[in-house]
Amino acid sequence: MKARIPLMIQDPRTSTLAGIRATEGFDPVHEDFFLDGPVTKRVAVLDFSPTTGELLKGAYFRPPPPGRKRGWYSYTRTGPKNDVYKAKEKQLYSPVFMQTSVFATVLKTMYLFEEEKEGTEEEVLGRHVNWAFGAPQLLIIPRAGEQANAFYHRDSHSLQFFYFRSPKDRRKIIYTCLSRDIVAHETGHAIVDGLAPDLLDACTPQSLAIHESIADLTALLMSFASHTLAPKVLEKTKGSLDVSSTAFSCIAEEFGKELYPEREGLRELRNTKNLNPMDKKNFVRDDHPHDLSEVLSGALYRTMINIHEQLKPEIAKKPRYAEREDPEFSASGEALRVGAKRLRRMIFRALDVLPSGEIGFPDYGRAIIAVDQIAYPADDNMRNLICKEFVLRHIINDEKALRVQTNFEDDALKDIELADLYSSDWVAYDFANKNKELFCIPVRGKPIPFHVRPRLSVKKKYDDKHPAGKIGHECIFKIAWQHEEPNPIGSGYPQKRVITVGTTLVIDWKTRKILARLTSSPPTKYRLKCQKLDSQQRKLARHEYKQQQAARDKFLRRLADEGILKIGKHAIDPTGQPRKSVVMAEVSGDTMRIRHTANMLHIVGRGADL
Amino acid sequence: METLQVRVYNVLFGDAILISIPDQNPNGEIETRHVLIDVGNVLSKTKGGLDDVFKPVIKNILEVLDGQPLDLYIMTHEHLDHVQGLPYGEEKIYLGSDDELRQKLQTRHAWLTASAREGYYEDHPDAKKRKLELMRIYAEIDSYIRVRSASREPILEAIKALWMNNNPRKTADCVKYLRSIGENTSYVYRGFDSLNQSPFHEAKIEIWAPEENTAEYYGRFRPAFRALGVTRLSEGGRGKQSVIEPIPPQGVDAGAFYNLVNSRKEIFESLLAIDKAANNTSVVFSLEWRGYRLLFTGDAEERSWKTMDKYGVLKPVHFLKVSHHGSHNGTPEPELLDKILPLERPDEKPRYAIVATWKGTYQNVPDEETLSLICDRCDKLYYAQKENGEMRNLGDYVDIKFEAEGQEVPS
Repeated sequence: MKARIPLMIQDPRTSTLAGIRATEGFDPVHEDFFLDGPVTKRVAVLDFSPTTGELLKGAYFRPPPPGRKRGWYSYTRTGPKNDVYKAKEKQLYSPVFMQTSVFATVLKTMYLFEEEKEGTEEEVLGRHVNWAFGAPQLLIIPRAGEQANAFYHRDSHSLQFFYFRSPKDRRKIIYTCLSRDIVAHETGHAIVDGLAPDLLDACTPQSLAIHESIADLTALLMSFASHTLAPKVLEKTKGSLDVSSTAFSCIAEEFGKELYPEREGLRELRNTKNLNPMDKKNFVRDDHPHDLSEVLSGALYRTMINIHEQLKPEIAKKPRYAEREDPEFSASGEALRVGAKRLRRMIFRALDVLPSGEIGFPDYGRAIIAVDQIAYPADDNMRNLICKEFVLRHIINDEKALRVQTNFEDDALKDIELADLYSSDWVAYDFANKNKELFCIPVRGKPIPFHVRPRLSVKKKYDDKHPAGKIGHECIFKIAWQHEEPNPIGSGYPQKRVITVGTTLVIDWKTRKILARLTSSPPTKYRLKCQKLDSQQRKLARHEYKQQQAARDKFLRRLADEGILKIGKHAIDPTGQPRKSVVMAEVSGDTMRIRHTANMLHIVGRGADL
Repeated sequence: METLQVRVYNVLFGDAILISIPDQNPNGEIETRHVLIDVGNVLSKTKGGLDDVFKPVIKNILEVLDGQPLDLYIMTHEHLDHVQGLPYGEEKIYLGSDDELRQKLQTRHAWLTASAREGYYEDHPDAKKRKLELMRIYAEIDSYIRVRSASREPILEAIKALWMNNNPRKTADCVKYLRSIGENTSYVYRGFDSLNQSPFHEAKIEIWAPEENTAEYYGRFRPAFRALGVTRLSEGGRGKQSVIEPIPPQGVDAGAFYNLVNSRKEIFESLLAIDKAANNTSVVFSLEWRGYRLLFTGDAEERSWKTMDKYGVLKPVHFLKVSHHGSHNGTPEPELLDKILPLERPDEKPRYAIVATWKGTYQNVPDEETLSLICDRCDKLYYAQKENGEMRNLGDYVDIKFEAEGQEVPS
C-alpha cells in the first residue's frame, strides 16, 4: 500500500530562520499496510501523554479513495491530502503532527539504506534492514519524557524522543521528535545495530564511536535527500559543501543552540578533529566515544566535500549546465546527488561486511575501501580521498594500513555449493572448521570455539562500467570467536577479559571468488601469515591492535571510575532486567566480559549526548 | 587505662551509634564526652524497619549519659533510616510532652550535613536544579506506588524500601526536629571550622565529606520525568485515583508493547538515583584519639569516596563503620580501600569494622563480597544485628573498645 506522509524538513527553528517551509511529503513504497498510529508492520508510533502517561489516540490513516492507490495521514481535522506541505508553525506542535512526522522520518531514514524508489532495492544494502532485537516492529515514542535527550534502546525495541524546556524561555518546549537530524540519528543507531549488533556491546571506544558517527552521517544524508532543504543550502553556500554551520554540516541545530547558545548545533561535521596528540586544538581523547565519533564523521564529511568539489566541474561540462551563467553552481545539486549516492553506498555497505566484535576506525576504513573496490574497481578516486583523510587525522599512520585484497581466488571455495553454505548452518560451520586459516581462526593450542553468523545473500548495484555487470550478487559470511586479553583496569575487576573478534568473507556468488576478507582477529604471527601481509603492514597491524587495546583499558577504567561499570548482579534490577544506567561486566572465574556498553551513550551526564 | 567505646545498636536496617570518649581537659582532668550518630531505621515494617527498637535504644543512650549532656549529635544525611529515631522517640515514647527527650538529651552541639540547612538550596542553584528534578520524579513515583498499594497490588520490596526511605516529607519533619535538638547547630562539610563547635579538648574530629556544594553528588545518570499514568483527582479532591493501564493498539505486538510500557517506567533506576544523591551527602568524619583513628561514614557511596580521594583526605584507620549498610557501592574499590585499610598495616594496633544491616531490605545489601573484602583487612568485622550467627535482641548493642596507649596516629 502507498501513502503520503508529512515530515519535518529540519526543525522548527531552522525552518523559521532559513525561510523555508517546515514540512515536505514522503511516499513510502513498500509497506504492507498502514494503520492509525501511525503503525506499519515495521514501525509503530506510540504516543504517551506527557501529563497523564496514557496512550493517546494515534494519527488517523485515511485509506485511498476508490480508484486511487495512495492513502494519507492528516494532521488537520479536515485533512486534505496535500496538507503535508502546508503545516503552520502552531500545527507542528500538535500531537498528531508529531506522530506522523516522526513516523515518516523514521521510515524515510530506513529507505536511505534500502531503496528510495520502487524497484531500486539494489541501490544500497540490497536488502531490507532487520532489527537487532529480532522482532519486526520498531516502536517509536515521540514524547517519552522531559529531558534533553533521545535514544535507541534495543531491549525495549524502541526509539525514545524526549522534550525539554528552553533554558532561556521556560515557556518554550523543544521536542526532539521534531528535529529531523535527531530522529534520523536515532533511527541510524537502530539500523546500525541491526547490521552490526556487536558494536553496542563492544568495549573499544572506537566501536561505539562508529555507531555515533554513522548515526550523524545518516542525519547528514537525510538532509542531502531533502528536495526542499538541499537546494536551499546550496543556494546559500553558492554551491559549496565546504562551509561550516549549514543545515548540512550542523547536527541538531535547534537542540544544540538551546543548550549551548555559543554553538550552531550539537555537533559540527565540517571539523578538523583528529587523533594527533600534538595538535592541541583538535586532538580528541581516545576514550570518549562521542568526541571520537567527530573524528570519523569529520573525515567522511571532508571526503564528501572533496568529491563534491571534483564532481562539480565534471558535471558542469554537461550541455545541460554548461550554458548556464554559473555552470558549477548549477551543477552543484547534481554533484551532491551523485557524490551522496557513492558515499551512502560506501558507508552503509561497509557495515554489512564489518568483521564481528571489537572494531576500530581502521577496520571500518578497510570495510569502506573493500566495498568501494568491489563496486567501483576502476575508480579509486574516492578511496584515495578517504585514505588521505584517515592519515591526515592520524587515524592510521600509513595509507597501507587500509589496503584490502579483493577479488581473489581460494581453493577452499572451488567445490563448495554456495546455496548450501548460505542456507545451512551446518555446511557453513563445517566449511569454516575445515578452512580455519581462511578465516584467521587460531589453530594452535586449545581448539577455539567459533560461531557462524547467518549468511547474507545480497544483490547490489555496482559501477555501470563494472566488468562483471551492473548488479553484483554477494554472499556475506561472518565468523566470530572470543579472544582473551589482560584487563588492567583495577583490582576490583578480573585480570582478564574476553572480547569478540571475527572475520567476514564476501564471496561472489557467480565466480566464487573472494571479493573481500576482513578480520578483527588479533595480529598474531599466524593471522598475519594467513593474510599474507608484508612486513610494513604487519607492523601497522600490531601497532593498531596495541592502540585499540590501550584505549579499551582506558575506557573501562573510566567507566569503573565513574561508577558506570557494574559487575554481574549489580547491573541487574530487581525485576531481573539489565539496568539502563550501567554497563554490565559479566564475570566468570578470573575473566570478564562487557555487555550493554551502549547504555553509556545515552546516560545524560555532561549535557546531552545524543 | 582509659578506654574509648563505640556502641553500635541493633536497630535492624539503620544506624544508631554512641561513642564515649575519655577527653583530657587543659587541667589534666578526664571527662567522658559522648557523641551520638544518627538513630533511625527504614520504614518497612517487615524488612528491617521495626519502630519498637527505638525505645530500648533511647533508654540505653540516656542511661549511658546518666544525666550528663550529650556533647555532640551528628546527623550524617537526610534519610529516614538515619534520622527518624529521635523524632519518633520524642513523639511516640515521650508523647511529645514538653520536648522531654530533647531536654533529657541536653545536646550541646548538633552537626547536620551541610545540605540540611534551611535555605541551603537557595545558595546552591546547581544542587537545587538537580534536587528539584529528582523531587518531581519522586512525587510522580510516590503517587504511582500509593495508588498501586491502595489497590493491593504487589510492589517489589527492593522498590518499596527505596521509596519509603526517600520520603521527602517525612524526612523533612525529622530534620526539622533535629535542627533544633542542640544548643548550637552547625551544618558541616569538608573544610568546616569546628574550633568553636567541638566539645573536645583532646580528641580531634576531621570532616572528610561532604563537599559544601553537593551538586557533584548527583551522578552522571539523570533520570527523566515521565507521567506514570496516575489519574488526577477531580476538582475538589473527590473521586478515586487510579493508574491508567495502556493497551496495545491495533497492529502493535502486545508482548513488545507491554515490555516497553514496563521498561520506560524506570522506577527502580530513578529511586536509586534519588537515594544515591542523598547518601553521598553523608557526613564522613574521622575521630582521632590517642593514637587511634576511627572512621564514621554514614552512607557515603562511590562518588563521595572518589571526591574524598581527589582531595587527599583518605588515611589509614583502626575502625571503620562500614558505609551504607554493607552495600557494594558504599565501600570504595580496593585501590581506595587500601588508603583507609591498607593490606600492609602501618602499625600494630587492632583494626575493627562494623556493619549495621538487615538482609533483604535493599537489593544486594549487604554485599557479601564487599564485607569479605573488609573482613580480610580487619581483626574482626562486627555485625550490629548478630554475634556468632545468633541474632541480638532488638535495641541491643555491640561495644568496640580502644584502649589508650599514647601512640601517634599513623599518617
